Amino acid sequence: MSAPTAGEAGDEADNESPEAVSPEEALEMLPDEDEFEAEF
Amino acid sequence: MGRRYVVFFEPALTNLDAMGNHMATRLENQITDFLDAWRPEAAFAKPLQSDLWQFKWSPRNGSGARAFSGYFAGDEHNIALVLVTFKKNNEDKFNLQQKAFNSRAKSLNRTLDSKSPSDIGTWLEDQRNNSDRKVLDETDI
Repeated sequence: MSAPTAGEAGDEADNESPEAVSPEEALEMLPDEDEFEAEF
Repeated sequence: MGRRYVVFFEPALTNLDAMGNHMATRLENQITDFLDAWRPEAAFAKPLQSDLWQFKWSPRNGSGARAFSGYFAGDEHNIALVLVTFKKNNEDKFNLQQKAFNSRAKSLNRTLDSKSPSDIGTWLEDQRNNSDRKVLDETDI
């Protein structure tokens, strides 16, 4: 197996950080059924 | 088989933007495979729940990224509804909410199922002008 490239090593560090949007925040941001219905 | 589309919802775009260019590009490439895979479902890594699918980018060094997505297969439109993206390192937290994301995907599908192909086509065009969303189709690859 080859060694990770510099880019992949950088992503490994990034991988440790939290997301900008948590799962709970994501669910709040997504349209619920009524909100989605109103888009049509 | 309908025309294929990928719709990114706001949480998916926000986390992609914060992910770093390399990782975000690789995950987005996996997602856009939906547009030209031999069949749309082949682009997903796996189904997670009744209405929830996963896109996955897994490099050899163990990092990587994931996306939770709905999937609508209509008469004229096949649509990946990308709900959220996240790094592999955070997948446990997102997996804990799989049922809630599945429920959201199911409600989006239920609404799309109730619409005519013309209504869905108009909605897709509207999404191109929605700055919180991103729409890709087969002409974008």
